[in-house]
Amino acid sequence: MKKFSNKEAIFIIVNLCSNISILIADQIIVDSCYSSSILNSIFISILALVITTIICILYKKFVGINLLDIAEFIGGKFLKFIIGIFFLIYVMFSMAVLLCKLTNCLQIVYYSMTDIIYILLSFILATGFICRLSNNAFSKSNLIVTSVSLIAIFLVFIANTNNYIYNNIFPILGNGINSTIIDGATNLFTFGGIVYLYFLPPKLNNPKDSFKVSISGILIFSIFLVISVTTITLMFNPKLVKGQLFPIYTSIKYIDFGTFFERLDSVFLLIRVMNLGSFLGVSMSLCMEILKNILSVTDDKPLIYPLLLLLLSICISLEKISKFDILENNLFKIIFFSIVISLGIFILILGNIKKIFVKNKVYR
Amino acid sequence: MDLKLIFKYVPTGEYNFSIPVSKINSSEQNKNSQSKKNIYTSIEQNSKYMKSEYNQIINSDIVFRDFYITAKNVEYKSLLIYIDGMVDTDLINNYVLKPLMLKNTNNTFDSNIQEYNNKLSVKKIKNVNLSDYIYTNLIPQNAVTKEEYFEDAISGINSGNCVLFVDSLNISFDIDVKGFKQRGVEQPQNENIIKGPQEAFVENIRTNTSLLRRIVNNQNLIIENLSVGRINKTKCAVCYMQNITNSDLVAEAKFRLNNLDVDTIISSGQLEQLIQDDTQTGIPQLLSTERPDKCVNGLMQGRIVILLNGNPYALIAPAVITDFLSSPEDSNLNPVFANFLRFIRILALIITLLLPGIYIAVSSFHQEILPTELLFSIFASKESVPFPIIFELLIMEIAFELIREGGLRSPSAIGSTLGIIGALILGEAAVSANIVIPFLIIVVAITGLASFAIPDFSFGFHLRMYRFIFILLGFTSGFLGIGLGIYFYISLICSLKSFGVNYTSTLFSEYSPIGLKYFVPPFWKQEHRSTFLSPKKEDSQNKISMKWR
Repeated sequence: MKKFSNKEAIFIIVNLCSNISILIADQIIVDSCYSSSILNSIFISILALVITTIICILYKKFVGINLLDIAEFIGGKFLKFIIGIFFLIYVMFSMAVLLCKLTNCLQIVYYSMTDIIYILLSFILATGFICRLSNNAFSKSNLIVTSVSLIAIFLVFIANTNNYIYNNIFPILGNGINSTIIDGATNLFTFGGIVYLYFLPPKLNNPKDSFKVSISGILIFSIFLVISVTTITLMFNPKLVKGQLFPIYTSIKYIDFGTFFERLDSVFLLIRVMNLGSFLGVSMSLCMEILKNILSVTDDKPLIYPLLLLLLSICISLEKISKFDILENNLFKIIFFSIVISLGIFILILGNIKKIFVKNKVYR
Repeated sequence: MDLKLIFKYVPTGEYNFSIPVSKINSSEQNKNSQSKKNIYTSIEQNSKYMKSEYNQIINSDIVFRDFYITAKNVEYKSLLIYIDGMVDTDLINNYVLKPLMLKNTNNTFDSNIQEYNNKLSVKKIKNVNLSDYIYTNLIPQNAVTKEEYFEDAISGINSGNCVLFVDSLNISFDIDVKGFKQRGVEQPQNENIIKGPQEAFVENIRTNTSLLRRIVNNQNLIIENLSVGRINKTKCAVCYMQNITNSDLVAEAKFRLNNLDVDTIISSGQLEQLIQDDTQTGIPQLLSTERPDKCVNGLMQGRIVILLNGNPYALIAPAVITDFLSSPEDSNLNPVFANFLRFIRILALIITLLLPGIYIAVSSFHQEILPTELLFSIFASKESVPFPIIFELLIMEIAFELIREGGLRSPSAIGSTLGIIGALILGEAAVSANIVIPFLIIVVAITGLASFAIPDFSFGFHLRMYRFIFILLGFTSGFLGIGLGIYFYISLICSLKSFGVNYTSTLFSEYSPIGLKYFVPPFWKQEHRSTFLSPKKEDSQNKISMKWR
């Protein structure tokens, strides 16, 4: 198995989180917390760091193995299969939701005459080609693409300084402490990249670095999240954010460098397309790994085709649902908390307990 | 991540290539040596065999010279074979035939004689070995080898040597008397630089190895000879620094070269295709250069250089993406200027690959990105052009490629004129005839100029090819296609390997920001060799190199 360098692993986590953030979560955070959204983003960042630390501590006794191996250790192949399917559902669902969100936006803004299936197909075909490439190409290209995306968001933040309305951050607690802290904790789903932490240790060149890598990834994304949420909060009246396609995309329309570069929003979409492509490549490789693990196959390349077909069919199904926003707001959060947070940590706790009881037995 | 590591020198990682499991078992490997035919003891049989091999009846330039050697007071019938035109006739006459044929005291050899005329006593030799005697006494040549097999003797003749067969000996003597006409060392034709050496490789492999030796000037430079191609057995030299280059890399290179099952290899381009890792993408994975100084630079970094006889280009392996954007000029310039040029080349890469695609995407889908005045100007000029934008762009791109190809293939005196005619008259006429808009001419011209700024020809060529894909992507789906295309292209580059080394090794260094290693530090700061090559010797200079300060 080709392994990742620490930097590649950090940027994979950042990419997984940043796509959820830009395409869905930023808008939800600002919409739900109003003026306290910056505070909320800081709060959920701290929460994510705590959860990451817990996961890493629970992983200490299982060096170089992933969550599915731990599930097998607890309940045999059957449990491994069940856990694998749950995580597969989460990853496929997040891919489909994000893909639908961006393709919808692209269709509305630029390709109103084109059937959405063609836009979906172009992403899915590109993902297929990239997953066929050897040498973990997706992780290295992700390093470039995610870096560009982070720089772009930072530039948007800087370039919009003249347009900021600083009154937007008042009242500082928004709709109250309840909506900022208690209800706002559900915005933790922004950190969807946490799912990768369960599969990261065996993929690292040095599995002992997994704690450093995980914390660094989450920390970098936290800064990114605070910057993007701050940009949106300071740019727009929080009550008007809900109706926009992507608030960050809209904020770019206000940037102008003299009279030459007046509208740079399409450049942002170009970066977004690359970033989503990278997200799909990383997520698809994770799906392939999960499937390879639970099916015990040696070559994972042929698994690409059924997975791509499955992704296409989920996307088409999502497109048919009229209340697409409900999926983003509720179902995404429910799946994230039930699978990534609850189930993942629960399996790790069980694994640790079993490890204590069977410490005399040698496992791996 | 340890912050110290960001600034600290990183020791070499593991050189991460794997030699594929050989399908050739030992018995098959021995088959070649077994199938070789031993030289007979009878000169008649040898003569007959060689005449039949060389089709002497119809082959006009193969010379079979029969004569006698006298040794131990016995005359031995001998045969000298060489190819007329490939040998130095003076060398053959004066230093091969003359000593062998003249019956002087040296070759009227009698083992019983104890004293010569000058009364000096010599040791009595009871059992004289004729082959040793001929080798040590009768051939006053510096390069003579004894060959046991016909194949080796024939290979020697084909390369310009002469071969001596002597009756009663089941060996032949391969004597180096090469004397064919060859081109002298001249200025590089395709890799010109302003500051720096002005020597280029020639077709002769020995001249090329001597050029390397002269610059390296160290006994650790190893030049191993191999032959590739079943029919023409082209001589090939694998050059490396014994105390620097990773042994696994040398083994890998020799493994690949020794396992080429082809009839003929006549150019380094063919060899490059046969030994590179990926053959589908069209992206070069070996550096091809005509400059000895560039090769020596590679050798000193821990790379290997492959020379092929009959070809003025050397191959350097492994090569990473930044090598294709570097020029030998860079090391001779002030680092500030060199890095400025490197930045310009990055821009050239982006422009060559993307500018026409982005132009078509912007004009078809994303017009809002252009300033309003410019947009109006473009659309105003577009009104008189009846063709769709893709047609205009393809016409101009293909015309530009035609001008370039025509300029290359025509005699040098006409070539430059052709370029001017093509660029000025064709462009002007196309605009006047309302076939294309003026803005498009500017786009195509800038793209063309940018493609000339790429130092490596093969790398520039692949960019020109991929540019057409981006044009199609831009035309069909605007920035969506361009974005996915860029992502795919980056992934493709990242998936490549050159002799086991990641193609993007220098871009993705674990301990420095992305792409920073592309830029050259001052020479005094280049203390360590590239870690991706895992060289045996990591340091290239002392921590303080300018001790005079």
